[in-house]
Amino acid sequence: MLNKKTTIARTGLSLLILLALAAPVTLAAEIDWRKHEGTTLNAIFLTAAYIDAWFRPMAKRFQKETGIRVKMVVLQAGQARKKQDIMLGGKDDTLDVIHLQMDNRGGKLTVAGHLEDLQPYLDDPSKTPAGYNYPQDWLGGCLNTAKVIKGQPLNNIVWSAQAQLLHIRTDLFKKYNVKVPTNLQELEAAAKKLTIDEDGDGKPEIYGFLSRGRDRLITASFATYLWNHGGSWFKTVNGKKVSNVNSKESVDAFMYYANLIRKYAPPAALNNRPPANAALFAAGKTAMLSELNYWIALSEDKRRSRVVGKTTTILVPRGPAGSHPNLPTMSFAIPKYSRKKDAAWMYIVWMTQQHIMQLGQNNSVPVCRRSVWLDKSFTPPTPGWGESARLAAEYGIAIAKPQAIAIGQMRDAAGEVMNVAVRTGDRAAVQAEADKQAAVMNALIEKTEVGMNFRGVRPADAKLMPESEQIVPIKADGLERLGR
Amino acid sequence: MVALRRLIGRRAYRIGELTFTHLAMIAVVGPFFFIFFYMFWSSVKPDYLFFEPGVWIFEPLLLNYTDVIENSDIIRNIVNSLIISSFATAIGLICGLLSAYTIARFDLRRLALGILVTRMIPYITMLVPFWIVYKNAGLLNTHLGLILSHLVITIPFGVWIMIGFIEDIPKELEEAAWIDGASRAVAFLRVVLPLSTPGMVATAILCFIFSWNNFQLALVLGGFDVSTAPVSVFKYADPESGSMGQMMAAATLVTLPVFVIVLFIQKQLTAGLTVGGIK
Amino acid sequence: MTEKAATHQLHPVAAGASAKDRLLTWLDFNLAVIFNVPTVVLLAGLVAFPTGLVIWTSLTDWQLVLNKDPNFVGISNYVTIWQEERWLGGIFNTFYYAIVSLTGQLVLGMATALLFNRNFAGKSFYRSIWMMPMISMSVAISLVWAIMFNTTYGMLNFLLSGLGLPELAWTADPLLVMPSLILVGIWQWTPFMTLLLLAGLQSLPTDPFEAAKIDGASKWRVLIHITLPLMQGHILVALILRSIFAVKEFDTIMAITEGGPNYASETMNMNIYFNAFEYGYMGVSSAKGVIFFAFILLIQLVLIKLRRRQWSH
Repeated sequence: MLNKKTTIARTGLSLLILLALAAPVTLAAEIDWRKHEGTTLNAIFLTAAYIDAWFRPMAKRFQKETGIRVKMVVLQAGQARKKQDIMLGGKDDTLDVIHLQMDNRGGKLTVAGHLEDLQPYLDDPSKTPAGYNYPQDWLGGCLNTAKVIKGQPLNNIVWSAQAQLLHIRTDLFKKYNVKVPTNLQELEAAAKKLTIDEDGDGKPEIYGFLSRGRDRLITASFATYLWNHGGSWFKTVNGKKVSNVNSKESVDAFMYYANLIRKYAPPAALNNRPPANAALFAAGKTAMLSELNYWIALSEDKRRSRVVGKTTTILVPRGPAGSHPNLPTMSFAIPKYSRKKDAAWMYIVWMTQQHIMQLGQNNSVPVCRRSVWLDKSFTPPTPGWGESARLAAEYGIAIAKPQAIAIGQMRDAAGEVMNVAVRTGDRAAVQAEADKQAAVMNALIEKTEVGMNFRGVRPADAKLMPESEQIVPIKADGLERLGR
Repeated sequence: MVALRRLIGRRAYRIGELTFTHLAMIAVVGPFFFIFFYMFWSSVKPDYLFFEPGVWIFEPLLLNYTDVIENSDIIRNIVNSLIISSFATAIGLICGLLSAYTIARFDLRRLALGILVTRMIPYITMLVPFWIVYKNAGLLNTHLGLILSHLVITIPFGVWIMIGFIEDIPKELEEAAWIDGASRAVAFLRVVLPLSTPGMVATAILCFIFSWNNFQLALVLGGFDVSTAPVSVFKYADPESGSMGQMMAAATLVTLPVFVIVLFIQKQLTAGLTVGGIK
Repeated sequence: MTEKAATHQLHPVAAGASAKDRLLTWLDFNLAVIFNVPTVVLLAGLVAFPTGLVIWTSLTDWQLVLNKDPNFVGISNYVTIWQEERWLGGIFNTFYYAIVSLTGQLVLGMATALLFNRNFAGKSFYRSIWMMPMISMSVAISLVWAIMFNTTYGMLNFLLSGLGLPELAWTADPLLVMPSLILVGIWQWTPFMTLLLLAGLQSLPTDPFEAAKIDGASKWRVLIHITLPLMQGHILVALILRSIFAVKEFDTIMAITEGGPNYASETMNMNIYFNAFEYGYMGVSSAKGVIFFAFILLIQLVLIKLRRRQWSH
């Protein structure tokens, strides 16, 4: 607070306004936000739409409020993980903040002990403001995804409640009077009806469905369909974790998902990356898109989309085993070797404060704090988006990846089964491939997880969503009467 | 009469040949150029037109460029790349010239092979060892470090291209200088150096291009302050998210500087290569 | 060498020579060493230790992230990798890619070099455009190609269907993915081949061509019986330079397919990359790196030997 005067003098009116805005929080927090003034933090981020839209402006504001500069390196996910792995593996002390998916590399980094235990920071009133309210204010699904190993210390603060949901074109559903799907049969029926080839050249102008069909990328969007069918990546047999991709239910799911892609998605789905899929949806080429919910920012961007005001998101329809929204959350963590852990913690706390998260939330970046969902200032892009995202954050689980130490190979194995499914559509072939890959996965567990209590996600962890909730997002947009 | 017809025939023949040459050139060069046109045109397309390959006319947008420039380090990294590639090229060229001279004149085949071997190393395997060496030497995240790392690209390439050029400079010219009383080193400076300039320009351009385009070394050995242009582009080559238009804008931005450089000196490049000849 | 050393004796150091003369003489006698100091010091300094580390790593079970001390496992990494289907497929793909794309580049490069070897107005204009692919950044142009290859909305299929031809799945088809990538490789590197071969064409002796002209040989016969045989040496050098690039091709494959679908386009280099950075098996990855290097060395030695034999003819 001492140098506050000089700072104000230096930066002028705009800062004054900002400080005035931040003042109530600063007072209530009772922590000295300018304690680490002049520090520079190095952070690696995985590319995502919200990095440019939200993280960059927030980093500027953070610097104004605390005097800490955050140098961001933003890289494509694979490259970011590579850089992060090398720096952590080499115990580099220049990396201060990492941004990771606990269900992907999280387990490996936790086992290796690369991440700082954050509990002492959280308990220290000089480092954490009194009203921070972790974990009370965090949504259940989010917290569930933050722990991947039994006895894992609190080594990450989960913030993003992004979920894999179903984007739908409300205008097409209305125009063709198609029932908005609440179960998997209705989904296929809707996909069929909305695959529209008006000029009859055999190449539909609008495809009914679109989702990831490319190799190792499929796990994230496929996971909900897998669990809704009653399948899963792993199960526990006699206290041992074994692969479950070759169970009847899992193979059902592979067949169902592959069938949707084969019949109702553009052939390009086999090879597209998610941004291409999102762009196709925004260009009005498909009626439904199974993808992360923050992509609505693209569909609703007037400069980039043709379907502004015509989309919403709903939960992926229920299957025989219920509804399991996939919640591939993102977390912040601090490497054990950083020399600026206190400043790094300050950044994490600052970014996850209620009023900062509210800004993200209001910009279609779903976050993990319960209170921001209830805040009056929160107006979701569509009512259905808001409801589906909230339900996903409450009931969702981190099923996006087959969580394991050998995560990369597990993803490849799952991708291979899907490859056979989308290319042949032959159940026997899929079962054979699933058996083969299950053996591969089991061998990997034997090899890499000896003596580890790697929790992963098991069906028992799921907090079952009541059936009545399924229709809530659809009702929110007033679409429940279609197709009657 | 016969002469006249022959004259007409010859003229017609020449026109025919000229037309054929240009048609052939366009047929050959056209598809190669098309990709670049497509890249640029896509970068000013609104995203929703991205999947309409038949739509060519629309109101161009500069939006993607402003987004890319605002939200990434691309401009800073292009400057970094210019610095790093220039130095790496210069050092590679000097080393290349000196070594190529001795290899050509003293027939040091083993050395030539040894240098070629360093070019064969798959550097993907070496990234982590490199990182470990760099960390201990304090070279991570520095211009010097990245320049040094790019030398493994530029030096071997420089040597191998320069050997051909040196071999083409007649030995007699040098020997004449020796007879005039110049020492070998002086003769090298006065005779060989000026004569190898076209070859050096050509080599420099090629070294620069290979250094400019290198991505892996800069990603691992660069850092939060010093990185290169390809690393900025890779932010947009993302399977998880990103905008197609921004991707194309970033690609156009990093391609532009090299194009400008090469357009200005392409004559020297081909002239240099053809005068010296790579053997 | 001895002959050249004898030339030095033309300028013996006089008894009362100045320090400068002494220096120059010393320089002359040690030229072959001194001139190579920067190259050798820099290259060896950069490469020696990492190479040693790779070889040592290849004998251990070191994992990148797991924070465990590596165990010495002997040559077991070198043994087990041969049981991996993916690695064997990678070897096949590497050579498939290298051989087909190099052949394509050679044929097209030779044809265009012959075209550019004539004088006509606007030649330099065409030549600058021609060189654009090789000077542009692999990652950037790969992104463009990836979009062009799109099965449903890509430019290539749009053109095919416009011509009334059946559409192809390009990189989404396990059988077509390698040819698609080879197409990109040919597109990107043919210009380089053209440059190298053009340089060769322009340095050919003129006598045989004049003799053929007097004999009235057709252009085709001149090409087959005179130009190509004379170009053999240049073609081999171009292959030596290009083959290293071709087997190590990484950026375009990574950016366009990441080795997919189902590893159908995974080369040795890609496999090494995934082992090291997706899976973290540094030991296995290093062993594969050493094997990969041995392959490259073998090819190069064969090519160089061919060139030597060619010289002695």
